[in-house]
Amino acid sequence: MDRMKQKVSWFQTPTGAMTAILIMYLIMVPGKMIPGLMFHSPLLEADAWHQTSDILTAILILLGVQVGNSGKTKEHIWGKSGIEPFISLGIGLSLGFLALYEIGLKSVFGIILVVSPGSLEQIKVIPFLPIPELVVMETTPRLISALVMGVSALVLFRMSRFQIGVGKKYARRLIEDDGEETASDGRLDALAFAGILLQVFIPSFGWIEYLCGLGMAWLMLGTAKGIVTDAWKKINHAALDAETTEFISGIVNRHPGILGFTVQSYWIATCMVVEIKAIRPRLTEGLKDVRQALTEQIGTFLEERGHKEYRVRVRFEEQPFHEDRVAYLISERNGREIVGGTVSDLMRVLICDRRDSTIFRGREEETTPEEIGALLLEKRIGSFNVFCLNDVDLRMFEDCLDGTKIPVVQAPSFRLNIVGIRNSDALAA
Amino acid sequence: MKKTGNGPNIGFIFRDTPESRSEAFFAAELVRHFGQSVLYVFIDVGSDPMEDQDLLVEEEQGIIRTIQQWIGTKSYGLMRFTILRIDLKTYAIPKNMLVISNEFGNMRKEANVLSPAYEGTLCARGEGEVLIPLGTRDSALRTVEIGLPLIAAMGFEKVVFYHTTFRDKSVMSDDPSDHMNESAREILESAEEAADQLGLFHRSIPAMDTDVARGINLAAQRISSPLILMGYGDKIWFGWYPDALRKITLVPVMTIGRY
Repeated sequence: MDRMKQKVSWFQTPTGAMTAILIMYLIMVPGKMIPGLMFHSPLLEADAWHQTSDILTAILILLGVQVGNSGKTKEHIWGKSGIEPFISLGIGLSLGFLALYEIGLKSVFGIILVVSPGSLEQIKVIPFLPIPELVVMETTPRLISALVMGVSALVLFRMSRFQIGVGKKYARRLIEDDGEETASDGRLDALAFAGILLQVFIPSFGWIEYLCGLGMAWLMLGTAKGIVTDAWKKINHAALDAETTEFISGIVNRHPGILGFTVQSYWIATCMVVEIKAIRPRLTEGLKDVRQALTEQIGTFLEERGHKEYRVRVRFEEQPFHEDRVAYLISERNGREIVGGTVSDLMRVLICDRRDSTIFRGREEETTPEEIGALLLEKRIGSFNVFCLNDVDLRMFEDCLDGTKIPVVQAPSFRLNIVGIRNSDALAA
Repeated sequence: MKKTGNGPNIGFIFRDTPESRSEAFFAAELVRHFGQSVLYVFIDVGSDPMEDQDLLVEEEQGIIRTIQQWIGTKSYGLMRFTILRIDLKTYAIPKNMLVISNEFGNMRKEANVLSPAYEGTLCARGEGEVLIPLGTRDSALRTVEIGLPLIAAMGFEKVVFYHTTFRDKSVMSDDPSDHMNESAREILESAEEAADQLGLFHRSIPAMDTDVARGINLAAQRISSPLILMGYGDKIWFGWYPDALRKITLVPVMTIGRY
C-alpha cells in the first residue's frame, strides 16, 4: 500500500518534467513558425525564434539534472548538483537579456514608431537593433495569430506551474528558475494576445501593446535579478552571513585543543554545508568527542536560526612538524657525563634530530676544535648547543665556528635529562 | 574569571623542551592571575645530585634566563623564581602546591596536578563551567574538600557536577538520575552544599556512560568547559579514571592527590 502511495508518475520527476517542457517547445515552435510565415506575422515569427532558444535551455537543464543526479561519491555526497547554480546563472542572464533587448528595447522602438512612424529611418541601418515592423494585417490572420498566442499563453502558464511544483517537490532550484522563465514567456504571449485582439477591434490602440511590453520587461528584469543573485551567492559559497559565521567561529574557539581553524559555508542543492577546518595537536582519540560536540552545538545554533536542511562537517588537520638538527657538546666532569665544557673538552659531539624541538634521534661523532666547523657544516647542523660557564668560553666556541654561520646556543642546563637528551627513547636505547 | 589572591603555590617541572615551555607559560599566567610573585621551578636531579657549586650557580642563572625568554618580558621585574632541585619520584609535594604538568600526574598520585593539555592559559577561550566528575566516595570527598575551594580561589563561578552511574536493571526509566544509588545521591548533595557555601553556581548532569573517561570528555566538550576537576580515589581496579581521561582529552585536567 505504501509502495503504491509512493509511486509517482515519471513526468512528475525532474527529468520527466523537463522532458515534457522540451516536448511542449518542440510542438510550439513549428506551431508558431508556420502560421507566422504564412500570414507574414513578425510577432509569431519572433516568438518562434525566441522559443527555439528555450529548446536549447531545456536540453541544457535536462543535462544538468542528469549530472546532478549522478555520481554520488565520497566527495560529492549529494551528487554533482553543484553544477546547477551555474545553469541557473545562465537562465537568469538570458532572461535579463530577453527582458532588456527583446522586449524592453523593442517596446521603446514600437512606441516611437507608433507616435512618429518615420523617426527611426536613420537608425534602422544599425544591425541587431530590435525595431518592430508595423505590418497591417487582415482581420482573419490577426484572429488566427491571436488564437495561437492565447493558446500558447495558457499552455505556458499551466506548464510553468507544473514545472515550479516539481522543482519545489524535489528541491531543484534549477527547475524552479526555468519555471519562472516559462511563466514569463506565458505573460509575453498573453500580452501579444491582448495586443493583437486590441488591434482587431480598435486599430488605433496598437501602441498599448508596447506600453504593456515595457511593464512586462520590468517584471522580467526583477525575476532575472533574483535568479542571478541567488545563483551567484551559491557559486560564491556565501551560505552564511558574516555575523552568523562569526558566531560559529566563537563556538569553535571555545573548544580546548583547537589550535587554529577556518569556517566556510556553502550550498549543495538546498542543503547548507558548514565546514570547519581545524588544526589539532597530535592526538587522535579525543577528537571524536570534539567533532561530536561541535556538530551538536553548531547544529543547535543553525536550527535556532531557522535552518532546517544543513550539514556540519568538521575536518581536522594535524599541526605540521618542524624538524631540525642540532649538535650538543658532551664532555665529562667529575666522572659524570654533562652537556658542555670548554674548548679543550671538545672531543665528541652529539648530533640530534629534533621534531618540534624534541629530540627523537641522535648519534655521537668524534671531532677536534679545528675540525668541528667542517663537521657541523657537513652534517647540516642548525645550531651548536653548549652549557658554558662564562662568556669567554662561549666566545671561544664562536671562534671555532667562525665562517660557518652556525650559531652557538647557550644550553640552560648541564644535565642531559633537562635538555631533553635522556628523554628520548631513541637515545636512551 | 575574577582575580583572587588566595591561590595555591604554582610550580612546574623545567626541561628544555617545548612541552615544558608551554607548561611554564601556563604556570606563569596562573601566578599572575593569583597576584603572586613566586613561580616554583622543579628540576629533576634524580637520586644523584651534583655538588659542583660552579655548575649549579651557572645552571640556575641559565634556567632563569631561559624561563624569562619563554614567558615574555612582562614578568621580568614582577616574578621571582624559586628553583627546587628534587627527585621527582620521591619528593613530597606540599599540599598547597599545584604542579603544572602533563606528565607528572601519571607518575605521582600524591600531588595536586594541573595538566594544561595544549592550552596556553586557563580560560583563554572565555569563562565557562568547570566540569567536576564525582566518582567513588573517597575521590569525591577529596574533590569537594580540596578541589572546590581551589576552583573558587581560581575565580571560577560556575561548576557542573557530573555523575556517571551504572544502569539499575530494576529501574525501567531512561533518566540516568533514576539509576543513581543512595551513596551517589549523598555525594552529590554534599558537593552541592559545599558549592553553595563557596558561592559557586552549580548544576548536575547524571549520565550512564559505558566508557567513563570518554563520557566525561564528551560532556566537557559539550559545555565547552575550560577545566575538568577530578580527585584520585584510594582503590585502583583497572587504572585511574583521571589518567585515562588525560590520555584522550584536550581539556585541561586538575587532579587532587591522595594526601
